[in-house]
Amino acid sequence: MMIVISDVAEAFGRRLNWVVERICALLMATLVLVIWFEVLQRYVLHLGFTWGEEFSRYVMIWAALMAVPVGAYRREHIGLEFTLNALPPARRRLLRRVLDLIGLAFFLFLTSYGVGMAASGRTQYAAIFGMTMVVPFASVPVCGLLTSIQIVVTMLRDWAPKTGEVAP
Amino acid sequence: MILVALIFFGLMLVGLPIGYVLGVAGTAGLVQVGGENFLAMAPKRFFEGLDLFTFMAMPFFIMAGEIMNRTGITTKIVEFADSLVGFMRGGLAHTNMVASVIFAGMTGAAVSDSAAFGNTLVPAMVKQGYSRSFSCAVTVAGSIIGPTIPPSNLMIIYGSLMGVSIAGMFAAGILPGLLICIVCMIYIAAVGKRKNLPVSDQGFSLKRVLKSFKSGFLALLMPAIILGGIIFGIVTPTEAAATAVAYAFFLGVVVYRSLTFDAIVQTLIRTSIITGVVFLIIASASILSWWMTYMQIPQKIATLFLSISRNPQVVISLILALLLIVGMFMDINAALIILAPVLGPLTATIGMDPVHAGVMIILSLNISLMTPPVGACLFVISSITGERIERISVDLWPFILLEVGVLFLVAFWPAMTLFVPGLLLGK
Repeated sequence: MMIVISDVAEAFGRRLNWVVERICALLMATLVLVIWFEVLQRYVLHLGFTWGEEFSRYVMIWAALMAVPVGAYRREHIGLEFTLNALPPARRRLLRRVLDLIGLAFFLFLTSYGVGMAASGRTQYAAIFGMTMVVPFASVPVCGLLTSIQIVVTMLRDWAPKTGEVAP
Repeated sequence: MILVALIFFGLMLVGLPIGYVLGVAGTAGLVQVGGENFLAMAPKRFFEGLDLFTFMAMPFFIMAGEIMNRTGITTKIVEFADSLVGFMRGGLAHTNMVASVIFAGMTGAAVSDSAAFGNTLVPAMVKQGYSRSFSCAVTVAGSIIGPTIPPSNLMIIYGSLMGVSIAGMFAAGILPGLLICIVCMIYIAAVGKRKNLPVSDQGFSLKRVLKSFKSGFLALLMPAIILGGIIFGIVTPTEAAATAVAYAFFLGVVVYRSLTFDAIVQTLIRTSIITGVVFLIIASASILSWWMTYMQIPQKIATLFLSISRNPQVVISLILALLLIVGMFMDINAALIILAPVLGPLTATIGMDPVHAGVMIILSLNISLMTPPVGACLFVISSITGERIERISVDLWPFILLEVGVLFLVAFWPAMTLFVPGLLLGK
């Protein structure tokens, strides 16, 4: 039963990650193009556009925060490993689950309070190009939610004991 | 205050990712000072921590490095370096150092240097008869040059947070980076005979130097574009970084034709993941740093240091000791973000130039990238080559001591660090 849930979670996490990775690539490409355009218009075209810096900052934040769940899915957010490595396999898995739960709690908190922040952005506008701040602020709860989902996926994925390990 | 410190160190030691640790400890700090009412500040600080235009240079330098790696430019750099110094005893070890200097002018992070040369030079060295552990040690020692010679991600973070000229720090990093290369090469030459390091059968030939220079010329132009643009004030670091991406892209697609559409997508994804990992640390750390400012922790630490001694030399030594020890256990991005607001004002109190202080702080954290137990470069090279960290460490210690020597020289001889910025920027 556990193995089935683990497989389903992994399949879902992989698909979600595939989509999020493409969004990251798209945002990163947008960021590069905006800054190239900025350089070009500043030194060659002399168009006098001023929105590029602010716009690119928000794209950068979105690109970086959308990559946080990808890092969670691939377990690329690293911490000190020596305590984990010093433990026998069963205890190591137990500790990893506890750590995942702490991480999950933090990102769920960020999601819930981030929604409040994004909503407060309705009455605020970007200084230069006047966009509502809901859009940039929303990056925080979206990052929180997607990362929470991927932490759950990795927990379920790692639930089934690997060869040679004993389930706690 | 003790509770937040306990949460921070406790969670870090049991292995929670550092990006999460900073967020959890920071949020606990908010609750401690303002109860539930302050919780809403956490996502705000998380967002504002990233809202700095100068940070953008980081993903671009990461991307330029990723593209360069995928286009096979690393090989051309190694060939050129080998034509210059490969003829000596321990030739490939010297080549590794010189190639690290050239590579440093293109990339902002030490781990990308370790990864690039761990895949190429270490196997080549082992094949020629070097021990695997010594090959790894040389590569790791050379990696530290990467974030010392500009561009440097840590300098971008420090400059952005502390309002110190990034161009000034970039210029100031050049001489210390070169000095690290020189002292390591002297060491390699000195132990060459005793360690019986191989001698290449190819002698020095000017023809070979010119040939490899010509073949790698377009790649070798990259550091000149980046550094020239920033240091001479033509473009901002972000614009220089974006230009570096454009240039790397041009080389990969038009000149070498090795960059496919799929490789471009993978480069963009890889760049955003590396950026995401670092930016999560920055964002979470800004929650904790708000609490630290509120609790006046920077002032308390400064008072503590100054109560031990007001002698600048003693204070500098204490700062270096603190950074080297902290860097041994903590991710250096996190260490920098947390300690910069503590140490920056302290160095100003004892009359250090901000650019000089910044370079000193960053160099000491860079050195900690190769110290056991958790040096990131050590981990990268170990996982790539399969060599055990303990074995690499044995061959690495002399390099660590030499680089710490350079660090002390940087710390106590400001003229060496400030000479190039003075020359180029008139500062």
